[in-house]
Amino acid sequence: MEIMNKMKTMRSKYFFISAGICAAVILIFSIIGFYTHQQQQELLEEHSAIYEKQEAASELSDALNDVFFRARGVYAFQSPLERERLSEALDRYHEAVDDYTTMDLSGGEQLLVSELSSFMSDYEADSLPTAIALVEEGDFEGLRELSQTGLNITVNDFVSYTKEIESESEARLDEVSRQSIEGMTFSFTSSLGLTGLLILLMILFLWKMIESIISPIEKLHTAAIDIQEGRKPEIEKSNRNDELGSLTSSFIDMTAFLQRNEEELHAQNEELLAQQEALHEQQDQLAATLMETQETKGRLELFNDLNHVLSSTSNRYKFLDDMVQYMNRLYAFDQIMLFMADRSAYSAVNVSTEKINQILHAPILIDEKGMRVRKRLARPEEDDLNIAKSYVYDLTAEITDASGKPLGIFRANRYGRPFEEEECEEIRGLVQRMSIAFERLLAFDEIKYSRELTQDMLDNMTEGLQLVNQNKCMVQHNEALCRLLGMDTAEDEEIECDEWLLKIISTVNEEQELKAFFENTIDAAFDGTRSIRYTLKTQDDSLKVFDVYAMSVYRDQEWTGTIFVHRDITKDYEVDKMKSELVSTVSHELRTPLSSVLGFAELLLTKEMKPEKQKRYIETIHKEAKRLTNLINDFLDLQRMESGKQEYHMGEVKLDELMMEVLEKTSIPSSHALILRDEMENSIVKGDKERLTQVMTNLLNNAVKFSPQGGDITVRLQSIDGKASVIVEDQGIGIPGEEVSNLFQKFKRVDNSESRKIGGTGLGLAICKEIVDKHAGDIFVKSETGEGSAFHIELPLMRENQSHSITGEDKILVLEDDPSLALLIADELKSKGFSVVHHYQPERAVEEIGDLSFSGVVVDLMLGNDLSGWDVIAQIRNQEGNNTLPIVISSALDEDPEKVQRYHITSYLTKPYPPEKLSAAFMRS
Amino acid sequence: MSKLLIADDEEILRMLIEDTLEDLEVEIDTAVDGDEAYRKLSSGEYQIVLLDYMMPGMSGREVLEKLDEGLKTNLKILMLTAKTQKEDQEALKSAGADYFMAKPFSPVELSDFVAELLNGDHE
Repeated sequence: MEIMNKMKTMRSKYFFISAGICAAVILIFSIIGFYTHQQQQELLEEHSAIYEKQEAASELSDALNDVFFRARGVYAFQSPLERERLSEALDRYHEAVDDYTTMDLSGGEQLLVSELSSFMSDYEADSLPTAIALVEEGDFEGLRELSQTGLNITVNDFVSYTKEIESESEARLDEVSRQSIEGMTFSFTSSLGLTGLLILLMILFLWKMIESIISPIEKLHTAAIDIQEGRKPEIEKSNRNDELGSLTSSFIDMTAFLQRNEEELHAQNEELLAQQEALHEQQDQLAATLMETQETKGRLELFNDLNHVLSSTSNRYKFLDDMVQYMNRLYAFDQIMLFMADRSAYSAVNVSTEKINQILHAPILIDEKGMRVRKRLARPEEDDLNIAKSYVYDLTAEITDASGKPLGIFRANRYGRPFEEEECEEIRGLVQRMSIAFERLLAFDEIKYSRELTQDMLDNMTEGLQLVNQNKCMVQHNEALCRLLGMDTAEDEEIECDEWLLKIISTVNEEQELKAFFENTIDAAFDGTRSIRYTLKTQDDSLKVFDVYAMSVYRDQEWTGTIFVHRDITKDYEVDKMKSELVSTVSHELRTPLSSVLGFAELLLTKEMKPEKQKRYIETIHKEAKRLTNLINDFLDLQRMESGKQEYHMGEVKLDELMMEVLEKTSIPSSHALILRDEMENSIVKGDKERLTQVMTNLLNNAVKFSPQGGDITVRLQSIDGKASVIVEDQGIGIPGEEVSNLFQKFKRVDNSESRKIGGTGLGLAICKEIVDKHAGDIFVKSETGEGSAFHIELPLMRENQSHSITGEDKILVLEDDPSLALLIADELKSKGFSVVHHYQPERAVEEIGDLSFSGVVVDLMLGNDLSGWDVIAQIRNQEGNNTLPIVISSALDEDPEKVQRYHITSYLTKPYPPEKLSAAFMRS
Repeated sequence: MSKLLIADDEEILRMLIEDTLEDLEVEIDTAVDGDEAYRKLSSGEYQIVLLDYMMPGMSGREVLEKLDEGLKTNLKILMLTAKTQKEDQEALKSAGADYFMAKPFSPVELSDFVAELLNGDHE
C-alpha cells in the first residue's frame, strides 16, 4: 500500500505538472483568441455601418439630383410623361430620406437632414407647383426669379455634404482596417512570446525530471555491477519518498539478504562435501554387489533359457545344439558331446570329427546307470596348452526314460578343473530333465511322422477329400480337393461351413443341387453312402465331371462328422458317352445294310417278279451282306486294336517292296493311271508287314474310291531325315478343310452327298491311324476340295541314310509289270543314284516321257496291255527331242536286231540278266 | 393320287422302299438328304413322308423342326429309324413325327402300313 502511494506520488506529480502546463497554454491561447475575435467583430460592424451610411447618403444625393433634373424636364417639355417621372423621383427621394434618417447620425447630420426635409417639403408644396404654374403660363421670367431664391443653395449644401460624408466614411473605413490589422499583429506577437516562454518552461521541467530519475538509477546500476562482481556496493539509503526511493531501499535490503544467503550456502557446501565422500565409498560397495547380482542373473537367465529349450524345442537337432551350448556356458567344459541313444543325431563342441565318429560307432559301455565322473591323466593331445593341467575330469551321463531305456548320452570333460559337488548335483538334475525332454522329442517326432504320413496319404490321393465335423466346420482336406476345385492350398485351421460351402459350390454348375446335397449330409449321421454328380465351371468348353461320396464318420460309435470324397470321373464319363455314341452309330451303320438284306429277301419271298429282277435283288443282297461283313470285320479290328488285343508281329519291313506287292494286289480300274515315284534310298522300317499292307491297301482303295472321275494315283516313296515317307495322292473330290481334323475318327466320313454316294464303313482311316500310331509313325492328309487328296504316312527308319545320293534329278522311267523284276530294277538304279518312276499304264508313261524330264527308260516288251513295248518305244521315238533318249529293253524275248537298230535301243537285256548291266547301260550313255 | 416322299441317304434303301410300294396307288418321289427332303416337303404337295433319321446335312429331326407347323398337320410323318430309344422317340414326336418304324423293317409291313395310311385307317 505504502509503495503504491509512493509510486502514485511520483506518477501524479509529473501528471499534474504536465496537465497544469497544458491547461495554462490552452487558457492563454483561448483568451487571446477570444479577444482578437471580439475586436475584429466590432471593427467589422463599424465598417459595415459606415458603409451603409455612405450608401444612404449617396442614394439621397442621387435622388435629389434626380428630382431637380426631372423638375427641369417638366419645365422644359411640359409633358405629362415628365411629370410622371418627376413624381417617381420624388418618391425615390422620400425613400432615401427615410433610410438615411434611420441611420445613426451625428448632430450636424441630423440638422442638415431636417433642413433638407423642410426645404424639400417647402419645395414640393410651394416652389414646385408655382414653378409648374409659371411654366404653364409660359412665364419663364417668373420661373427664373423663382429659381434665384435660396432653393438651390440648400440643395447644393446638401449635395456637397453627401460628398463629405463619403470621403469621411472612406477615411473611417481605412482607419477601421488599420485597427483590425494592428489587432491581429498584436495577437500573433503575444502568442509567439507566450509559446516561447512555455517551451522554455517545458525544457526546464524535463531537465529536472531526468535529473531526479536517471542519477539514482545509475547509482543502482553501479551497485548492481558491484554485487555481480562480488564487491560491496556503495549505496546509501535514499530519503526520497517516491518509487525510486523505494527501489533503492529494496535494493539495499536485497543486497543484505544475498550476503546473508551466500554465507549460509558456503557453510552448507562444506558439509555436503563431507557427505559426498562417504557416499562414494558406499557406491563402490554397491557396484561390487551389483556385479555379483548380474552374474547370478546371467546364470538364472541361462537356466531360464535352458528350461525353455528343455520344455519346448521340438526339433531334435536344434534341441541337441541348444543343450550343448547352454551346458557349455553354464559349466565351462573343455569338450562336450550329446547324442541320441540311437545315434540319429548329435551335437558336440571342441570334439574332432574323427573322435565323434569313434564315439558314435563304439558300443555303449556304461557299467553304472546315471552319472559318473572319472579323473584321469591328460593325454598328450589334451594337454599341449598347459603342462600344469595334468588331470582331465571326464563326466558321463546316460539319459534314460522312466523304464531305464537309454535315450541319449551326455559326455563332457574339463582339463585340470574338477567338478564341485554342487555342480554335480545341478548337472544330475539337468540330466534328469533332459530325459523328459528326450521322451517328449521322440513322442513329438512320432506324432509328427504319423501326421505327415496321414497328410502324405491324403495329399497323394487323386480323390479330393474333406472331413467336416459336427459343427459343419471343415477340419481336414487334402491338396487334391484344392486342385480339383481350384481353391487355395490346404490350410491347417478349421474353415467355417459358410466359407467352404460357398467356395465349393461357386466352382460348380449345379450350385443348388450340390448345396442341398451338402446340407443334407452334414446335419446328422446317416447310413451307407450318398453321392451326387456335378460338373465344374471351366474357362473353355472342356467338361469336368465329378462324383462326390458322403459317409458318416464315427468315433467310439458316436457320430463325429462327415467325410466327402470327390472323384474326377471325367474320363469314365467321356468313355461312357463315347461308348453309347459308338453303339448308337454302329447300330445305325449295321441296320442300313441289314435293312437291305432283309427287305430284298422278303420281297423275293413275297412277290412275284421277273428272273432279271430276282437276280438284281440277289446281287444287292449279296453286296449288302458283304458290306455288312466288312463293317463287322473293320469294327472288330478296330475294337481289337483299341483294346490293345491286336498283336503286332514286328520285324524288318522293306517299304518299297511292300508297296510294290500292294500295288500288284490292288485292282486299279483302267480309268486311273497308277504311278510309283520311288526315291527311297533306305526303305527298311520296323513294323508288322501285314498291318502296314492293310494301311497301304486301304489308302490306295480310298484314292480310287474318292476319285470317281479317274485321274492319276501317285504313290511317292521318299526317305528324308530318318523317316520313310509314303504319300498316296489322288486327283479326286478332296476333303473340305473343316473335315480334315475329324477324318481319322471312327465313323467320321466326310459328310456330303458326293462322299455319301461312295460309301464305306467309316472305319478305314481310324484303323490306319491306329496302326500307324502303333508304329510310332504319323499319318496326315493334305487336301483341297475338288483338287484331290494326299495322304502322308511317315515311319521312322531303322537305319539312318548313309548318303543322299538320290537327288531326284536323274529319273529313270520303268515300264515293267512284274513286281519282283520292277523291284530288282529299281534297287539297282537307286543304288546308282537314280530315282525311279514306275508306270503301270503305257499311254500315261508315254505322255510323261514327252515332257523330257527323264534320263532314260526301261521297257518290258510284254506289258499285258493293248500297247506292246515296241509300240511304246515307237511313240517315244516319234516325240520331239526324244530320239536320242537312252532306252533299255528288259525282256524275256530274244533280241530283234532290226528293231533295236531302228529305234536306237541303248541296250537289250534278256532276262535273266545281272542288274549291274542295266545301270551300266545308263552310266555309259 | 396321293404323293409320298421317301427321304433316305442310302440309295439301296430308297430303291427297296420304292419297289415295296410300287403296287400301291401312290405317286412316289425321293430325296437323298435332309436338305432335299425339306425343300420338297415345303412345297406341301405330299401327304405322306417316310423320313430317315440319320442323314448327312440336316437330320430327319431337324427337317421336322424346321418344317412349317401348318404343313405338318396335313402330312403323315413316318419315321424310319434305327433310333429305337424312348427318349429319341419322344423328341421326334414333339417335333411332329406321327409313326415310327424301326430299321430293319419288313417291306410287307411297310407296304401294309402305307396302304392303311392311304385309306385313312390311322386317322
